[in-house]
Amino acid sequence: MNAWLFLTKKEFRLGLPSFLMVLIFFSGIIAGGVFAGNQFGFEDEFMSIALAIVLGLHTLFLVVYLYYSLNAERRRLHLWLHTPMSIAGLLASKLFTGVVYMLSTFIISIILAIQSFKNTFSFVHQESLFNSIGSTSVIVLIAALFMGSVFLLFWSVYLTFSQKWNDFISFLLTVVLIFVSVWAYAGLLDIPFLQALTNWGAIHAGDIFIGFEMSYIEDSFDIQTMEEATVFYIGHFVRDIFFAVIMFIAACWIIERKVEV
Amino acid sequence: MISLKDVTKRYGSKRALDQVNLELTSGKLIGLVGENGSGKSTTLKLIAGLNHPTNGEIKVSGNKVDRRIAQSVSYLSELDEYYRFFNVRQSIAFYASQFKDFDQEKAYEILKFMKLNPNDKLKHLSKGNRGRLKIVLSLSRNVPVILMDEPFSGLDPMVRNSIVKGLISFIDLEKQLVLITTHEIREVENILDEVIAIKDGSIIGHHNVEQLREEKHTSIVDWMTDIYE
Amino acid sequence: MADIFQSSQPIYQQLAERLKRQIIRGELSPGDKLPSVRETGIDVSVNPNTVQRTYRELESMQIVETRRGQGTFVTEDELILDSIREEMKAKVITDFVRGMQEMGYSDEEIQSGLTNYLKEKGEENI
Repeated sequence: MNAWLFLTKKEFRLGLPSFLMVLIFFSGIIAGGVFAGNQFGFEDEFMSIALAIVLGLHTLFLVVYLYYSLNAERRRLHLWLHTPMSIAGLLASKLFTGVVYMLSTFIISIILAIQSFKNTFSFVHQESLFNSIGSTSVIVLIAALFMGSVFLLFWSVYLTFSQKWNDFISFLLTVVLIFVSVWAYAGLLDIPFLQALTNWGAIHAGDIFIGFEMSYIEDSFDIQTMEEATVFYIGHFVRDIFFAVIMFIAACWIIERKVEV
Repeated sequence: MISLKDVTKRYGSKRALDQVNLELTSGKLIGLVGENGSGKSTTLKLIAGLNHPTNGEIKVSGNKVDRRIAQSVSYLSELDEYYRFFNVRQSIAFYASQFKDFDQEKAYEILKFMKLNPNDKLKHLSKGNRGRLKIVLSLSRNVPVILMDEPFSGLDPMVRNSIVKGLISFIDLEKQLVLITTHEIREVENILDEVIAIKDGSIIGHHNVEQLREEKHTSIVDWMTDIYE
Repeated sequence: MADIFQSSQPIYQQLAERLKRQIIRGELSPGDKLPSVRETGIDVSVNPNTVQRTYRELESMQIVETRRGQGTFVTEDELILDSIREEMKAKVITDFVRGMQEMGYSDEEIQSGLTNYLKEKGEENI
């Protein structure tokens, strides 16, 4: 355990530059929002748009972070892999530091977003606002973890390919494999049995927007469309986490058995 | 201690090692010599569990090798890549945290011997000093097997000499086996117990060095030139 | 550093010769403790296993003796030390004479040459 903590300390240091780059990038978007707001009026509205973009981009945070960190490691696989620690331990350390970095920018963004949304959507009930921000957070963070696991899996696949072929061909092959996998995964999700298994814990827009806002929204939109667009299932979150874990394990297996320095 | 049984390693269609059999015993400094691309590095990586044999079996201390053999094998790569944000002291602390058998006291002894400053950042170290640090890190483990891939390559004579002295000073030949690849044979010929010659992925000779001198009146270099043709 | 040994001859023998010379020259006196195997190894850049073998070899010739827990010491037995002196002398003379004979010098020429050389060298020193 102590070894893992020391390793994690190293990971924080190794991944720091990518965290700073992301931080600067996000600050740039928010600064852009502020600037546009000043330019055209509608300060709160532009700020809200900027923050919504930043929050949404967090889904890719772990991918960027892991790309940077693993790429740094690729040049010294002989160091990284020459350890009695399990691959799961090595990857978990990277994932953990990535999540900590992600949460730090995410929490700041959320706090700013609450302030800004309150002003922009002043007609929405407090509780509805919290509900929607809360559910957005869950969606974004789970999506980020899912994407992170996807990246880990295909990075290890890419490394395996690159032992046989050059980087460009390996990259192409990996991309092809990603498309095939996405297509297969979409097909898998369409299987009625899996749907039956995961379509539970439905959350409707109505569960998020309470009281009179619902009728307000009903006035503006067709309620049916709204319902369909915003219904999501807790079962799907569980499904995503399940597949993320499977991909993580697969990545560990591939690196342990197939990757060579 | 280390045994390779009918080990073949292919990279795609290229055969890096071909049916290699090798039996190495503890308490010795063994040189693995041969041209570039003859299979020296591959052999070391296979023993370190960082590459996987296509066929055959590798054992260290009776255990079948996989990546986790790192527990009883210290592997020094020929590559010159470390975590450059660490300084020398932090590098040692990191290694000490990752390997239970890492002896910090010994590390600082070797450090002193190699005249390295613990506060120097790795990114500011000269190539020679990075080469020295690699030696510090790999010799500081109280581990039964030490594998060194080309520890002298690209280093000037003074550094090479300090590495040779460091090897003699800090290896515990009662408990350790050191396998070292190099094509600078002259550098190591006085410190080797055994020499193994490898060519095109096959072992073409394996001798006790003193026996070679005593029975055939030949130096390692002459012997190599002889059998390599 | 590596040049003090010939790479085509066993190093343990060369190192033994070297130590014998040191004893004859008085650099190592009877009863002196030899450096440890590792120290000697570092000093001459030779594998400690080889140094160990040299010490064993010298021990079997009774030139040194190992005292348990204390180290290896040069013998104090004058007879043995004398015999090394004689042996080394005989060896150098043999080499010298063989070299001269190979070049075709007669015994008389070798003898007179040696006498003259020593005489001239003796005068220089006065």
